[in-house]
Amino acid sequence: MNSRSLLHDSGPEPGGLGAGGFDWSATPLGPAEGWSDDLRAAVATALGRGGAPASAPARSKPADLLTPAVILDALFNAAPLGIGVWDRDLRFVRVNASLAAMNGMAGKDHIGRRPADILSDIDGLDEVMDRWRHILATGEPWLDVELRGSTPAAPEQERIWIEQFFPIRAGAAIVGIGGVVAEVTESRRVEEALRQSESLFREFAAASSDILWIRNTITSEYEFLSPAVAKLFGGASNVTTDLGLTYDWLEAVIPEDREETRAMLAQVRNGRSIVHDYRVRIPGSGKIRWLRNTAFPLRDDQGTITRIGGIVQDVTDERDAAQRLNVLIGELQHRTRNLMGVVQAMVETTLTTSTGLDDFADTFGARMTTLARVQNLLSRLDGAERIWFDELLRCELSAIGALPEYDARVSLEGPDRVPLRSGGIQTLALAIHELMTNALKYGALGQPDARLHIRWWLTPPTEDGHARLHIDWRETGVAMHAVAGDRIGQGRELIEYALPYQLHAHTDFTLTDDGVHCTIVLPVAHGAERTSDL
Amino acid sequence: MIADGALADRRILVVEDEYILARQLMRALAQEGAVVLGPVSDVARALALVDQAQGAIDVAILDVNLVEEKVYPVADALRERGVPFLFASGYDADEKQPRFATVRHLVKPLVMRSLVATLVATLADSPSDG
Repeated sequence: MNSRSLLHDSGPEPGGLGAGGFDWSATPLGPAEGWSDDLRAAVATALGRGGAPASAPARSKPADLLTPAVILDALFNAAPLGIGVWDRDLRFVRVNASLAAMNGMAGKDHIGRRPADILSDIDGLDEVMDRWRHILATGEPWLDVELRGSTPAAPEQERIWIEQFFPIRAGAAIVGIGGVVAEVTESRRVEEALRQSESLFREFAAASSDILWIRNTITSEYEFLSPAVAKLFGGASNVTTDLGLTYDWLEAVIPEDREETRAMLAQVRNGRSIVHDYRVRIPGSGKIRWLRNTAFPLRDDQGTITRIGGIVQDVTDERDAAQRLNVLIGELQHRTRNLMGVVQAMVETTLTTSTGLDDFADTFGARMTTLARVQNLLSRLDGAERIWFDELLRCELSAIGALPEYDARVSLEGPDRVPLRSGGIQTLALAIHELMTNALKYGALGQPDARLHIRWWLTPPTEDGHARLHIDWRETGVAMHAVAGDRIGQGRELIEYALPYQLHAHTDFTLTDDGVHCTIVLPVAHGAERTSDL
Repeated sequence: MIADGALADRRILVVEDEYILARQLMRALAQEGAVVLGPVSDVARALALVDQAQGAIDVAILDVNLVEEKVYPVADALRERGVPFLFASGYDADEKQPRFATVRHLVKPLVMRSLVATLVATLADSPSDG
């Protein structure tokens, strides 16, 4: 290489540089005779001025061969860093192999040229030159300079270097500039990607309503804990999202779940991934929340578990909903099976009172549709909602077209929205159905001049805490000749026995000269007082 | 008659809140020659009957889910007096309380034949069934 031969051939001595054994005229610097004093000094420095002459006579011992010049020369050439030397005119004086490679041209092609002549695609070169002049003027180094741009080595690639520039002195005089160049393009790219990925992760973790955590198994410290933890634990003083946190989760876990939680985490440290639900008590409010921890081991390059991580989700609402659903399913199951029993019993009862299959079909069919209507009302009952008496009554009347709007014989009088207790609604509906069926066949709804007046009202709670609904069913103007006692039997039994049995009702069923008069007094749902005011 | 007189003159307490089902049970048991105590529809009435009977109950059929309450206090009272009983409910058997895990459990709707058979078996279990 040129620079090598240059050094060896010249055998530089302070005085003999220009006249020495090297023909400089072949280099871009031109013949040494034409050099400025500065260039002369810079070349002398770069070539290891003062190293060779003193030791020259004692070359017999091998150790003596390691002159400072030889050492520097070796370092200069072998260094994986780019090294360059510039004279006071900012022209390249020396370039090592690394820098030459970075720049994409032979070392000799640099010599005597200014950076702008050969490396014009490096950003901000003018400013760099200004700073170099400043170094020459003041002797202050310019360190950790980041330069970007491309060189002929890879014209399309944007590269990054970190450079150190320092003055080269010859005695008191600053004769040139030395520079050390480290290429950081790749490491910057990795760093940048890492930073982006980390920032993405943090953004992700911050946006997540779940708690993301990473814990060092050696120090037991949390290396990451996402902000959601503060949301869950509110103002609890020992919870922060700062790294280096040693917050003890187990402290918040309720005692019943603590042992299992500890055991599960131990499994994670032993290499298993787990999903575990446990309860915590929120400090301050004292509320219990269900958390689901999906935790897993994190391994280092050697495959050793040095961290465990996980995602903690508040599953309280989910578990509550699942439980409510279970209760509802249970209730549905209960109702359905009960209903099947009722239907079965109804078949038996209807069979024993029917005169034939047609009669059975009529009566049973009507009773079934009543049951169906009640199921319809009950199916929307979710515990908070109630079925109202007036709603039930209208529902039954409308089924036979006997609402006052359509049947002038019928009149209704009573408050809206009287809430019924859910148990026994079916039986009450069946009783009303039987009263109506009888009225249709033998009573007020079967005779043009008869009347049916249904009145209801509430009385305040008695000592048992229940308000009571009074129902007064009065048929008038009925010609009582056609009454067959047997046929009234089913309705009468429901009123006189079923309602007291199942609804704790007091009932009275009387056949007057004028038609049926039936009174039913039954306890209604809590809150009936309030609701009836609406 | 299904049970060939095995239930004849047996005093059977029936707790069932649905009137129509209670009536059906009553009729079926009467056909077996049994004496029905009740039926009653709630815990308070059932406890009163248990007290009143002073141990003169051979076996009981308890509907688990009554209006707004469970039948378990009645079961406890019967157990205290050494009276055998069985549960009937619309819920699956695994829903019941652990302390009654060994008690026979029938799922509604009840089939009379299996009810009678279960009653006979429950009676046979009990130490008082000399």
